[in-house]
Amino acid sequence: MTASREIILDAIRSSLKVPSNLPQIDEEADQRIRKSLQSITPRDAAGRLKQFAEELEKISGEFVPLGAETEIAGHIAGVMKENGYSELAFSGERAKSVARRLAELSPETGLVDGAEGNFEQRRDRIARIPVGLVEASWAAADVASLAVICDEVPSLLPHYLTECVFVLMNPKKLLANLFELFEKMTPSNGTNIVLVAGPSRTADIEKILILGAHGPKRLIVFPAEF
Amino acid sequence: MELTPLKTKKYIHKALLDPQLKAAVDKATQTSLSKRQDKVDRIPYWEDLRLKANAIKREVIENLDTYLTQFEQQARANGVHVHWAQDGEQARNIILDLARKRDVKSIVKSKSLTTEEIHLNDFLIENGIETLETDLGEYIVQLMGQIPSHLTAPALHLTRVEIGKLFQEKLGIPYSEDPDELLAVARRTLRDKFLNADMGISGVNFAIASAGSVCVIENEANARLTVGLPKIHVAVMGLEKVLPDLNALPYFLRLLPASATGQMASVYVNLIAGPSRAKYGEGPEEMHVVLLDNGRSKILADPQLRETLFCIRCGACLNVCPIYQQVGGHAYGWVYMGPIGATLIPQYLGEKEGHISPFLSSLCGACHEICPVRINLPHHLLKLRNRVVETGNSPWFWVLGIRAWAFLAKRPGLYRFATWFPGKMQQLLPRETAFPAPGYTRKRALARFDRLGFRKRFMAEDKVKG
Repeated sequence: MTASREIILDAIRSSLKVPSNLPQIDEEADQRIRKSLQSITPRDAAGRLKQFAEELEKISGEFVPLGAETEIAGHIAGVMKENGYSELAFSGERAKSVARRLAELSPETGLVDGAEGNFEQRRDRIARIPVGLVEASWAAADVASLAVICDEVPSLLPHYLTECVFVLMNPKKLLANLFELFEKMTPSNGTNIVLVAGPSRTADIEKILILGAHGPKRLIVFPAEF
Repeated sequence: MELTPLKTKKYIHKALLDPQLKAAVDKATQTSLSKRQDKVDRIPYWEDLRLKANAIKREVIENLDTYLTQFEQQARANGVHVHWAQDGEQARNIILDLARKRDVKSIVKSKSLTTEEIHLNDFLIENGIETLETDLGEYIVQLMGQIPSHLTAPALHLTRVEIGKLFQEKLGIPYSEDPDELLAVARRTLRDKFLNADMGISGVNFAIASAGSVCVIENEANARLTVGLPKIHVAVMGLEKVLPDLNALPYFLRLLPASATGQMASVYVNLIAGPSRAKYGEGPEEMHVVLLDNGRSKILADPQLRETLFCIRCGACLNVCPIYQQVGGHAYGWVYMGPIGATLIPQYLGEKEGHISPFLSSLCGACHEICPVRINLPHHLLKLRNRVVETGNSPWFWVLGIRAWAFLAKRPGLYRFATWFPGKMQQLLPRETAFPAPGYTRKRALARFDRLGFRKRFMAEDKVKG
C-alpha cells in the first residue's frame, strides 16, 4: 500500500498547485466567539452547576444535588429498589467507595468491580447488569457533557453497557463550555476520551424520540467532590 | 437496492406519486428544521462559529497533504495501522484481507456514509462475512434491502407500520408498530451481535492530525459498542475528515449536532487514539484506519469546488431544500443526496453519470444559508451545470432548445414573431386551455401565453414610467 500512499499524496499535491480563490476569511470570528462566550458564561461555580443541571434535564438526564457518599448511596438504593434492580457494576475509586456504602445500606445488592477479571468475562457479565456507577473526569456546563478520560478510569464498560448509569461528577472539574474543556483537560497523545451528554437515544422511527437505544436509558448525575 | 443517478427522473416521478413518502419527508424535515432553529437561537455566536469552522476546513483542505501525513505519523505512534486506498475496490480488499487473516466471521458496523459510498456491506456479505448495521435507522434500511434516504436519518422515508411489518417478517416477532417495542427488539437482537462480533467497523467524523486520533460522533451508543467491544476496530475515513488539533474540535461539536439533529450536543463523542486493550485492559487489540481517496484528490483540483470537501455530513441542506422536501433521498440515485449530494454525484461519478444531479436545485440559496461550514452550494451547482454542458453531457433536447433560442435571439424580427405567434395561436384553443407540452403537462398544466407578450408589456410599462 506504500504505492497507494504516494499516488494519493502526489495527486493531492498536484491538485493543490492551483491556489484557492475562495472568499476572504474573517479572521476575527474566533475573538467574537470568545467574547460572546464570556458574556453568557456564569461567573461562579454555583452558576455553572445550575446551568449544568438545567441543560442536563433538557436532554432527559437527571441531576440529583447530593454530594455526600451516604446520601448518594441512599438515593441509588432507592432507585434500585423501585426498579427491581439487584446488581450494580462500578468503575473508579470514588465509585467503589460509594458502592461500599450502598452495600452497607442494602446488603442484598450484588456489586461488580468493572475492572476485575479478563475483558471478555467482564464484558459478558456487565452486559447483563442493569446499573452502573461511574466517575466523570471533567464536565462542560453549557451542553451538560461529561468527559471521561480513559487514562483516569479503570473501566469504561459500566458507562455504556448498563441500562441505568449513576455518574459522580466533581463540581471542581465542571468547566463553563466545550472550548474550556478541550483547553483544560490536555490529554496526552494516545489518550482515548469519551464525552457523554445524557442517556442514549434515537429518533429513527418517525422522528419519535426514544431513550435507551443501545446504551443507558437513564443517566443520573451527582455533584460529588473527590 | 441498486440505484443510479441516471434514473433520477424515473425516481422523481415515482416519489411525486407517493403521498406517504411526501408526508414522511415533510414531517422529518420540518421537525429537524424547527429543532435546529431552536438550538441556533440559543447560541448567540452561531454565525461566528460557521465562519471559524469554514476557516479551519479551508486551512486543512489547502494543506491536506501536510495534515494527512501528520495524522498518519501520530496514529502510527499510537499503535494504529494506517492504510491508504485510492478507490473503493482497494478499500474493500484491504478490509476483506484483514478480516480473512484474522478469521473474522461477524462484523458490527456503526453508521458511515463513506462505507456506503464503497458498498462495503454487500461486498463483505458476498464474501461470507456476516456484516450488520447497528444504528437503528441503518439496521432498518439494511433489513429492507435499501440504502439510506437521508444523511443522518436513514429510515426517514419509512413509517412505523412499514417497520413493524418488516420486523415481523425478518425477525419473526409478533407485529407491533410501537416505536418503543421496535427499538427494544433491535436492542436485544443487536446486543448479542455486539458481544460476539470479531470486528467493528466505524466511520470517522473528524480525525485529529496532532493527536493521531479519530472522532466518532453518535447518539445511540452503537458506535461506542462497535469501537469498544470487538477485538479489531477498523475506521474508514475520507481524506477530507482531518482537523489540525483538538482545539479545533469544539467548534464542530457545537455546529454538527445542532445542524444535524437539533441537539445542543451529541450524546457520545468517542475520541479514539489507538488500540486500547494493551493500555486500558479492554477494547480492541488492533486498530486500523483506512484513508480513502475515491475521487477526493480530483475534487481538490478545482479551486472553488474543493469547498465541497468541507462538508461535515449534517444533512441540514437536505432538510431545507425544496427539491429534497418533494422527492426524498432515493430520487438522487446515490448515497449522497440533497444539495450536497447534487454537487458530489457528478464530481465522484463523473458528469456523464451525474448529468442530472446539479439541476436538482431551485438555486434558492437556502442550503448556503443553513450550511454550518458555509459551503456556497448554489454557486457550485451552477458551476457543475456548466461542466455538464461543457463536457457534452446535456440531453439532446436541451441542446436543441438552446440552439433554437440562440438562433432567434440573434434575429430580433424573427424573435418578435416567435414570441407573438404562440399567443395568437392560443386564441384558437378553448378559453382557459393552454398548449399541451409533451411530458410536462402529463401531471400539471402549462400556463397560458400572455395576450400581449413580454415585449409589448415591457414597452408599455416603460412608457408609463417615463
